[in-house]
Amino acid sequence: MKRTIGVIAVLAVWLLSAVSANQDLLTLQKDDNQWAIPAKNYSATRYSTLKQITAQNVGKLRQVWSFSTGALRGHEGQPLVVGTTMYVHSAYPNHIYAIDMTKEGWPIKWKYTPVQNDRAVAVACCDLVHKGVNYAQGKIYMTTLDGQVIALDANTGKEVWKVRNADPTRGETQTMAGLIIKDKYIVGVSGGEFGIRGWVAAYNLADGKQVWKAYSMGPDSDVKLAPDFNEANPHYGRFDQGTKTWPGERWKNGGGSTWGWYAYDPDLNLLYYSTGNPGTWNPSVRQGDDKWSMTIFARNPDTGMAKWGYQMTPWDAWDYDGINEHLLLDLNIGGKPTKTLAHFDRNGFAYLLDRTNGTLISAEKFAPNTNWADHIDLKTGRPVENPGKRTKQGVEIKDICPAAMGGKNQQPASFSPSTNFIYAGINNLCMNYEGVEVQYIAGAPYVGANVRIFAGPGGNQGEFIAWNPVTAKRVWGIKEPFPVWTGALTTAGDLAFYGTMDGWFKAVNAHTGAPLWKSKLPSGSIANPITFIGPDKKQYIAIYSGIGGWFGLPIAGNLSREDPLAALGAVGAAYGSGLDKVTSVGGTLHVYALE
Amino acid sequence: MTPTVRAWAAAFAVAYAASLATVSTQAPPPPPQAKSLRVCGDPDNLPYSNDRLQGFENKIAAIIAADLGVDPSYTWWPHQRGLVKNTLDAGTCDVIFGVPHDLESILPTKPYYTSTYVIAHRKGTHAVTSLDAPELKTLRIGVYANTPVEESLGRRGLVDHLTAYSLFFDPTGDRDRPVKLLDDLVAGTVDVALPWGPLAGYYAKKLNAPIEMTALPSEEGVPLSFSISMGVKKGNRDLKNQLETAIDHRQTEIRSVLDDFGVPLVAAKQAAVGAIQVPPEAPAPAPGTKAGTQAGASSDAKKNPFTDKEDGVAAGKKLYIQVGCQGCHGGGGGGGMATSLIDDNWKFGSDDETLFKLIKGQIPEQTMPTVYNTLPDEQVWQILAFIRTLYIGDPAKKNW
Repeated sequence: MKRTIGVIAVLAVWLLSAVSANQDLLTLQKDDNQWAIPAKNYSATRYSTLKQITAQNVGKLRQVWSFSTGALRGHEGQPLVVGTTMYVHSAYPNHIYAIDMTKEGWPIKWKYTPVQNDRAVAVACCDLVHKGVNYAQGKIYMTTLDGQVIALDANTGKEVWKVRNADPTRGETQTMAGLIIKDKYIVGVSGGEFGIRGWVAAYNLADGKQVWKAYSMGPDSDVKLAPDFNEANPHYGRFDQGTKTWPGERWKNGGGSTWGWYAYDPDLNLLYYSTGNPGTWNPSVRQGDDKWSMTIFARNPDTGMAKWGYQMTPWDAWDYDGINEHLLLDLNIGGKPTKTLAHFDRNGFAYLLDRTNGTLISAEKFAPNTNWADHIDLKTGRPVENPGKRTKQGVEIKDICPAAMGGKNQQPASFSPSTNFIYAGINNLCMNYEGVEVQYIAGAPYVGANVRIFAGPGGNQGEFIAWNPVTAKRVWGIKEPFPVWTGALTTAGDLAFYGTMDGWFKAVNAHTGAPLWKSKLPSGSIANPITFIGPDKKQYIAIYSGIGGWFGLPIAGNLSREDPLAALGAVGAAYGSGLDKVTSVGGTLHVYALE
Repeated sequence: MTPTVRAWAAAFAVAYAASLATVSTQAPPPPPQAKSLRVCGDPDNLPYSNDRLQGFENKIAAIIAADLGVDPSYTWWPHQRGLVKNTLDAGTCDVIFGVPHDLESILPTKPYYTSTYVIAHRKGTHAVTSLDAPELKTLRIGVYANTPVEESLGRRGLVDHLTAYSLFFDPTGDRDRPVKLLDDLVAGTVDVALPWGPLAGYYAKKLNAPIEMTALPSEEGVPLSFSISMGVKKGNRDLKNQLETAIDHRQTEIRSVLDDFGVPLVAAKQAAVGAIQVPPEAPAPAPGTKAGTQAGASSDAKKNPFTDKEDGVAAGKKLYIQVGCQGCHGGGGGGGMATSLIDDNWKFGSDDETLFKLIKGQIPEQTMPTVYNTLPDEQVWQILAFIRTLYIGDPAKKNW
């Protein structure tokens, strides 16, 4: 009896704290004066209702403040603005700064640099990037490259707790921002090139205790499948698939890392994220669907149990690492209001699903030269492949589009409810790909492919597009010489913002794509623009510069140009494009306002 | 307690960054004797060490000193936080026995043994041999705070059942000593204990305490076995090399001391998951084998027998892909996650011996994973022979 009472008391306290953390973030993300979660809101739309800056006056936008982060590797992600403080992060070594925007010159309130194991540097596949921090109830929550999860006091920068989520001696690293839901910080892991077995895990905001951990593959108890998993779409696969779709025990090194962007629907109480490529890029040794790699998952964030999972690229043979972001959009489909999820995958297809149960609504090519599959069969959910483009060990298969870097990489798209379009930076890259034999050694690279990457037909390597998710058709596109690896920002001022690897930050008319404004950055950008209202009531736009990421690694890592296979194909791609002639390393936050 | 456990907790666990200042009233260190092995010893930390030289690390120190032809002399300082700063760094002594191989503040020798956390119970009661035993849910479990077994218990939802004991104690105070965990196990205050193996082994073997124990296997993300080295001041490569030669010479005697104290030894291979693996030529030889230097331990300059040999290069090319070099260093050696192998920038030097050691994981400052330490020497040389063919740097800079 006594014990029961104790349990109930604990539950009550837990529920109370859950509600307040949740309310805090739900309130903050609705306030467009602030930018309190990485993707602006749980629906991950990166849209703001602010409209001091409009299509009419954007020509007067000028840089009014800038700040060196002290790191010179690729800068992904975005700062946060909570109240009058801006939280700035950097590439490795993952400096965090709190900037006091109430004072002249925006001085530094505190700076924090985590103590890290530098061996993580040698096992981070695609530059030493970081996608930003999270805020809740007076604390900053962050991941580190070397696998720690850390809570800081947002006022002082002092550590509140830190725990270990990933182990770099096994090739596990962290570059993701994660997401706070209720009383938990949900994080994932990178390391799909090291034969890790990927997972997402939830940590208590209060004390860092791990509450649940759900693997991307393995027995159902590890993958955490709810009893009604995929009930609405049994043809997606239901139970035991996390082991039976792999030869032998290869699922144990099955990859499926989780380094992308997470979204959440508070009404359905579902967390959305997806898993990456299966372990070793050489498909010949893992014939089968390799579930649940390359899968969009919907999970209950309280328990981790999965309600549905949809695998986009079964038996991946191209490294179409499926971790890209999900936009949760309430759209009118065929006259019916529908809760949808939009996802632009590395494999070149833009998926629209019913996010209540995973049912496919549409899947169309957004990357125009996509040739590995003809189309996605909406009935079965499976791609109808072009057999000539399926790769294997010992043969170099040529001219596959998109390249392993994807029709679109991780740079998150934006959705504007004023135009009802999605805006995304995309790639026009193709590749030659040859699987090679590799042994699994814990902590050693487990890549198993040689990849050459080059521009697709047309010569331009990138594009910034507007996409109508209802008709599943492109509205307009702006060709760019380099892949577009910044996220997009849209505002009620009829504007869409994005940046380029050659260092331009641009604003275009969200309806027409007409270029309106641009500003030159000191280094190429692969980061995500944000907007907010400063203490002086003015609207600001902010973005990091700092070239890097997979494509920019040859510049960020100062690699020699002779080996086109180096950096998993990026050396050939980056030097082939002339990126080294237009930009150099950097790490700066730029803030713009109307003059 | 061993600094293994302490340092592990300090270096990895939930270190709250706060400084647990070491308090000590130890007398100032005696002046170093000439021609002695100056050991930084813990005065009161059995089974490892005490000032009456009763610990197994004291015995091993005597063996190593004998091999070097000198006597050990001791500076006493508790093996707690502040140890390295106040001893090695302050120059009062030259070697700490029993440090975790990956302790960052020192230069480690190659490990001389690898042990593990264990699960221990009183004879005749609760014969639990695994963390997955269902009866654990009903038992009182004693652990040291901030040790990795805490994480293992947490994963199994067993944290409500544990009593945490402190690894750190103030030698001037009258608080519980770390050995209290084992005392409590014997007394029945806890049913099961999860200590670092050498402590439990000491109780079982040396003190004839009625306890039985089982080694705990490492699990994903939670290494439970650790390799133990001697630590010297960073940069003191001469002493490190001398100590390693002595370790090679004296493996049999070291093993015999460890056995006498009941230290549970595990193969370094099992120390997967984050622990540093022992180079194959390191400890635990079969009794009676003649200890000696094999390839990899010798400090003689080494040359690659396969350089420019067609067969060796071909074998190396195949291995370069198979064991994963290509993943980080590029299909053609141009780098990526790791540095380029084709130009003339070499972080630690470009000679055969340096690169051999780098692949073997023997350069303490290296960031390259040390997981290739079990690759046979011949294969390492073959891979190097292939890498040499990729070089496009200044021909004048070739030193191989």
